[in-house]
Amino acid sequence: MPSNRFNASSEYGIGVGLRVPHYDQILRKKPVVDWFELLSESFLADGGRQREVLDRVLQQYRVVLHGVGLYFGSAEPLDRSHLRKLKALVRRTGSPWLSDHLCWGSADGRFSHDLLPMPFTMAAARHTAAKIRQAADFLEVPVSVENISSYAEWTASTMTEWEFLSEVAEQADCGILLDINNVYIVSENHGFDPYAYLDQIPHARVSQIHIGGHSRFATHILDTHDQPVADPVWQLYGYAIGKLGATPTLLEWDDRIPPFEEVHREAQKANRFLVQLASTHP
Amino acid sequence: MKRKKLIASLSSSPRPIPEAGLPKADTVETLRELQRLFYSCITRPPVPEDGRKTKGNPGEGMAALAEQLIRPSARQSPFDRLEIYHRQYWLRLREALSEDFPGLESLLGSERFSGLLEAYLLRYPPTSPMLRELGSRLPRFLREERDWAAPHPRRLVLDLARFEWARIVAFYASEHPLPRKERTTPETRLFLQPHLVLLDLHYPVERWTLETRLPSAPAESASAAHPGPPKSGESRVSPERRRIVLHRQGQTVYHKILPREAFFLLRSFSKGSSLLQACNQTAEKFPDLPPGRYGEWFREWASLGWLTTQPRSRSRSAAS
Repeated sequence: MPSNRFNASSEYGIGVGLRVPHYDQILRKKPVVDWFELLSESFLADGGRQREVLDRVLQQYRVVLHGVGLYFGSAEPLDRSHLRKLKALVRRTGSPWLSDHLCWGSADGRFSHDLLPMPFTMAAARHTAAKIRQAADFLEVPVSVENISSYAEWTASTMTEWEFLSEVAEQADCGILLDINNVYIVSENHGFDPYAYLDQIPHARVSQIHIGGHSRFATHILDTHDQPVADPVWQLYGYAIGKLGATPTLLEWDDRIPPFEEVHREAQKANRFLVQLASTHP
Repeated sequence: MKRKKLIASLSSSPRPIPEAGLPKADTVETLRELQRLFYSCITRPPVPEDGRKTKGNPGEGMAALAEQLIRPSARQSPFDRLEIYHRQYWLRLREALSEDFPGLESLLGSERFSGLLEAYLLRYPPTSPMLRELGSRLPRFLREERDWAAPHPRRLVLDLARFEWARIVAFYASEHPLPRKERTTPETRLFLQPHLVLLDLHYPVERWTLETRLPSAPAESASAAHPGPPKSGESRVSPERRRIVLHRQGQTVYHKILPREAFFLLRSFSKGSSLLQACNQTAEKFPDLPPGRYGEWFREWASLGWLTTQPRSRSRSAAS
């Protein structure tokens, strides 16, 4: 299950997001890291420092692309120009699969630069799935969609988030990038059982897992990626690994970024679950 | 007062709910309508910190709309939940523009800079999925709305915005293949490299240290020895006409002041000119220019890789 057609049958372990403050250290010291996740939109430029870093990272490491700009759930069609640039980047990096979010973010050609929550309806699922299929056909790599963190639920929704995610993934025949931190955040913000979420999604479609830190406020939790992974998220991760088996896992740390060693150490904590729990998986 | 008037004139209120009722997202069309409604709610002007009622803070009307769109949680009203996205929208975009225009923020001061960005984004909302394109039309907006420069000279503020945007262009733009010497004749059409930006400035804005927050902080060639831009309301800056080229070498953006004749010659290639045409035009404009200078300049420009035989794509906004 962990190595499946949605992650190109690859055997990736624990990865870390490639972030600007770590560039120098990674290029200079070449730490042992199984793979890096690259934010696609940061590397679409034709030149500059990012492109140079990318070329040097590719000499040493395996990478997977993860984007924020496709907005599969926006009512408007895919941006063909963006897709073309993305395809060139896929070819350049050899990314075995590519992921983006199950969200929308633009209306009438205007962008929010945010990952906005979908109304969970069958029509929205059909439309989103069709766009994912178009993207996957064009990009010629398996595509996975990631469940987002959210702070609002639409009155228009007619199904749960996990039902919507499953419907989209089935109709698009795509993979799922399961963000465990996001599952926890939405379960707290919207009031449901996160374990039920993990039980209900199609496990065979999970290509990759995200973990990360969040910030708790009096009335809600924000997905801030600015601190270590919280204990309830690790527990949820352990449960997910028990269900899924060893799955490529990536730690996201995007704000108040500590030294690379600390980020990598935090990511490696996932190992204890992979070692303990994957062995019990049938 | 002037700033408030400007914002009011540019503000956009949330879209009204269609007469047929709240869209149900049961078709792509009603999904589109619902997303437009949500988008108009979160991109409306920021609410003043003192919470007073303004066009961007329509109070009860907004709360009523939120209740139709969003479910409450155990701890938050629909309006409060929507407000999280509203605040995030403005915070994220302000942060991005603050990173791209640090000198402008320093010159105008934080509050006025925020007001400028709000007005700018209301007129020119983001139309690219790439966040780095966000500031592309800020120089244009400053040309259209002159009052934002006060109390500073309008040209000073505009020059600074153009210079800072040019640095973004120079950093991210592509590099086309260099002309092959053996294939270059006086009739060969040449173009400027996409990462090369020409600026005709009225103020010496390039002298100021502009703390750059481009990825991995490329250095500027002439920045180290100079102080930062004047702070908001600080001393007068004297005009000083200068013609500048910004360009990238490797991962670093540099700028260089050019003699006006060289600037004129180089600008001939912005739309594609042959060597012969460009030199003839320049000789006509500057008949006293010694012929030897042409050779010096072309040798230097060739060594810096400023010219190419490949035309530029028209997708990127030119800072000049």
